[in-house]
Amino acid sequence: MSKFKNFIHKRRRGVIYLILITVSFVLIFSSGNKVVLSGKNIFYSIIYPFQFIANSTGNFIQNTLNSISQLNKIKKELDKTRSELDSYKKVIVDFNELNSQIQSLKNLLKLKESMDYQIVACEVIGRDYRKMNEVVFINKGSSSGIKENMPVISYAGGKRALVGKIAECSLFSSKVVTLNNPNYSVGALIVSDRTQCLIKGDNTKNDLVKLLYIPKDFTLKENKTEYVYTSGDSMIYPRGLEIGKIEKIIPSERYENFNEAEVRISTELTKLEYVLVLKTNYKEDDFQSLEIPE
Amino acid sequence: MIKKIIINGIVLVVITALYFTRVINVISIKDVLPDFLLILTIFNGIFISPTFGIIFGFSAGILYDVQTLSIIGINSIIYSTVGYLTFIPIKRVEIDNSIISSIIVFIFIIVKLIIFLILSAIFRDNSEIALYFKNVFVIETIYTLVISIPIFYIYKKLFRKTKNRISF
Repeated sequence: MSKFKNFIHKRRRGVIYLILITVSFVLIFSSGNKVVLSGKNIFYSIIYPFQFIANSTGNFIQNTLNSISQLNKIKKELDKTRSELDSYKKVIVDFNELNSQIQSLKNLLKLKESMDYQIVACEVIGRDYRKMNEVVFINKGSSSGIKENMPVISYAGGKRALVGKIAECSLFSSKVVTLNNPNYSVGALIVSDRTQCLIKGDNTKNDLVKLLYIPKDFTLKENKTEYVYTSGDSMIYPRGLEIGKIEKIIPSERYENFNEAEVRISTELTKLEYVLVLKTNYKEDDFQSLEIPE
Repeated sequence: MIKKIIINGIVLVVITALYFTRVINVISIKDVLPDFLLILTIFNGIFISPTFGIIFGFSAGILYDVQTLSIIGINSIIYSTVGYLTFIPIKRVEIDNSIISSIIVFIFIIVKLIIFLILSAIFRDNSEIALYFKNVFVIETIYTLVISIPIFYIYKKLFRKTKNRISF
């Protein structure tokens, strides 16, 4: 008896556990009305956790593998879509470029139609960037009837704007000396008070040229833009071609009686794509046909 | 010992009473609560004694089952088994920080899960198990692990033994 007591005492935890488990099972069977316990049921119950874990693990691996294959597929689709997008972007760029060309050509055509001269439309094929575009090259030459000293104009803001003149002429291309060229000069007229001046090329500042021989009494009024046009005095340029607008008047360093001015030219030489060469024949042309707008 | 029994008894009654009130929902995450009974059974087993863990687990399980109006006895088997098995970590590891206690709690969560699966497969509807895994298991496991850390420190302070390892 004492041995049994010792045994119980040594294993009292296990005994208590067994008693409580037994009580629990008794409670289960006494409280649950629909408890059916069969050998098959117990067997399935034992293997169920393992089945469940194996099934979950299998599903996880399968889903992971599927995800990887899906990812690869999606990556391929993404690459394909990206390349398609790139080609569409290129198409858009080409389209915009074409649109811009069409617009330029339309402007050119409009200008050509408005002129009383024979006109040769040309494309700018080269330029001297280092020297503020003081020289540009066009794709028409003597074969198109272009000769030296013919004026070159462009379409700027709906107006005919002076670009320069033909300096050299080969069979299929010509060299145009622009307003920015320091060796270039043209008779000019301040539109508001009909003052005759002289435009002189300047390549120190982009799109700015000098207007010389401005009378001392001429001043710039606030909120009024002073336009400068060709005066028509020279035999090369017809009257009434827009040159630019006066930005600033400065005292002349060379002549006491005159001021000078900085004129921002109307043609943006850096963006020049198409120009028109006026086939002037100064012996026959009637320059009066061009009017200076007020 | 009586002090420990009284404290645990009060805690047990309060927890099981609160389990099915709206008050406890304040701390629920997606309607899932941490398994306080499991944590308390484990720490009672570890910090007081495995025998105390068995009795506490059995009482907790019975009280829980009574309130759920389902088959009485399933949770008492689960928690008393957990209480019984607490002698294993006591024998093998020095439980002196929250990381070890969290690992032990996690292992007992798995133990509880296995027993739960077996008993549920025998006595309950299998759809209940699927529902448990779908909606409860992950949140409950994480939440239980998180909550076990402060409870571990409380137990450590209240019931710390001079020597954690016990002889068998």
